[in-house]
Amino acid sequence: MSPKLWGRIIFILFIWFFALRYYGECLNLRQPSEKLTIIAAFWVLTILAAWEVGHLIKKILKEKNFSTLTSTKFLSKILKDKRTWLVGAVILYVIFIPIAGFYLTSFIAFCIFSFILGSRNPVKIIVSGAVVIAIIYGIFSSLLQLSLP
Amino acid sequence: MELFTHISNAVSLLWSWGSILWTILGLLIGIVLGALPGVSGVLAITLLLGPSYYMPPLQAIIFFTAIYTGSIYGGGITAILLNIPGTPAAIATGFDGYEMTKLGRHNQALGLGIISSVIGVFFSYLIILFFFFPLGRIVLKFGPAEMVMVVIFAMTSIGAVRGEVGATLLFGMLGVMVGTMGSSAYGSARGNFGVDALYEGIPVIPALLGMLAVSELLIMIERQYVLDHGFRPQQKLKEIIRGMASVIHHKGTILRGVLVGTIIGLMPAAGSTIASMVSYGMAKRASAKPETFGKGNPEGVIAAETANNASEGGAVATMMLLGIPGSVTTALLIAAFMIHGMSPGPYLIREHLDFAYAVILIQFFQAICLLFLAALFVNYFARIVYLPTATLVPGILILAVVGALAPRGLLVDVVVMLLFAAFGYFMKKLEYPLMGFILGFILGGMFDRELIKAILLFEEDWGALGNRPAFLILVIITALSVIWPKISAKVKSLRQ
Repeated sequence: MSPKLWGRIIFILFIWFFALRYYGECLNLRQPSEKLTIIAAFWVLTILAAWEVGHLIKKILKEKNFSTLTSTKFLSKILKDKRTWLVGAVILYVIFIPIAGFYLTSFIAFCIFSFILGSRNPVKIIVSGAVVIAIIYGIFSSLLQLSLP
Repeated sequence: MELFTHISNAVSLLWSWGSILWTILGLLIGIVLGALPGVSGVLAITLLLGPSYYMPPLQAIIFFTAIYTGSIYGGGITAILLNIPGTPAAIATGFDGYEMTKLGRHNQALGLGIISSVIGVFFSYLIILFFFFPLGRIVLKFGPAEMVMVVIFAMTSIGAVRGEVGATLLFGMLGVMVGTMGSSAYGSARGNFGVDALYEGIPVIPALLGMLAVSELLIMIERQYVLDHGFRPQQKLKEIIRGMASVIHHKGTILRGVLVGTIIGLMPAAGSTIASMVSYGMAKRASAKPETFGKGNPEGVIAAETANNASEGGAVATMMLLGIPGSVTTALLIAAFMIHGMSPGPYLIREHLDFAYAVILIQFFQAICLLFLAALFVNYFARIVYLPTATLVPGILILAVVGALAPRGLLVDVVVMLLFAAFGYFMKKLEYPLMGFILGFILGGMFDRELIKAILLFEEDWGALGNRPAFLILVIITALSVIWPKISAKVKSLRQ
């Protein structure tokens, strides 16, 4: 089976459930005009999503190419992907900003991101990190008077 | 006479060192990032939207239009030297530009690229300067019903251009829903899912940063370098200038490129990529030696570069007159206007016409600056593509976080950015039209307001809509944009 086609179906269903949730919440609004746009957009979206999913299922059935990808293989593929590690590091970075402050966290995050992306020269990583943070400080804090956490 | 009053007011608005400095800085950033395949001016504008909050409105818009101009030109540098267009708009430039490089004529190609871009920008804005006022008067007659139709037309025409009206409309509607989250016109909480920080709606800057910048980084890290290419041709200023001078022999191609680019730029959704492709095709058909196209014919570079840069004038005019974006870049420009309390469309024409003229007038200065900056620094701009992603990506990621934090300083905006990054990444990977969503998202609030107004105005007598010619024209062209792909496909199959 084509993972892309299945990916599209899952994605469409995901956004439809989100739209349904929003639509359900809007039904409680008092004024009819407050919910009009949402109702109209939701129903157009529902019709088009049903059409798209139907179209994708038709394509999958036509392909008749049913290969299998076990959950273990899928998991090991995900864990080996540097994007997974980068996303994890970004989430940790965001968590630590209010704790350690923007500049220190950003400097450490820069070094970790560089390492994840394949840079192995510690001097190069530290110097580039320091330069980037200095530029951000110079432009945003000193010049534009932007207050960062 | 009224036109000259607006022009003189616009000149006085522009009279400051800031206009010059932001133009030069914007062009430099635009050219450098435009030369980076996959990065482009979109990323630069997205990253800087947040900090621009602290800039005076006119200088912020000047800065962003300069990035826009620079990035369209910048995309052509790598297309000519390495056959890898920095932006899709430069694809046609590479057809003959890279062939010229292979023949050792890369300096001539670069020179032609610079002068064609400058001419494209200059003359398209000259055309716009004279037509802006009469077009603005027509737009001022647009009421809520017309504005609702304008948004629907923008979505269907983007879908028609991409050949997928259904998917564009689907994600456009999702965009409208997300764009109306926060609170309703009556002040009731609507779709903020209990998060107080979202009461003012989904913050535009973090969402755009996520969808356009961070998601692109996740795609970029699949490569070790932005570009890994062994061939590094040397640039010589004298030969580049000689190449620029040789444009004089191709007046017809230049004129055609300017007209095609400006007209296509005016159409919502068409944009610079289509403009350059159409202009290239027309130049080939008009040539006495069409077989030389694709084999290093200088006219190919001129046709493509003139048209893609000329399309900017048309796209900016449509954006300011109607408030609808023709591309992601103009969608970001709309966001930039909104950040500074201005809404492109009839409101901008009514309240800030001098401002709009100032934006047009500064483009002539930008074109002249582009000429000098591009000629002097083209050698350095071409080298940017050899940057390792292990340095570039972390730097841009941290800049994106700064951009998300800039307007409000709330950490929830960084979370919004990351959520939209995931959304944008899957949209791109699954090849769904992100532009449809962005359009709905940016115009969702306006669509909601205008739809309510239209219903209140016409609920007693829907037939009155039939007496509004602009509304009827918009309905007809929207219907045409929906059925046109089907008709043209049918005609093609019948011909075969």
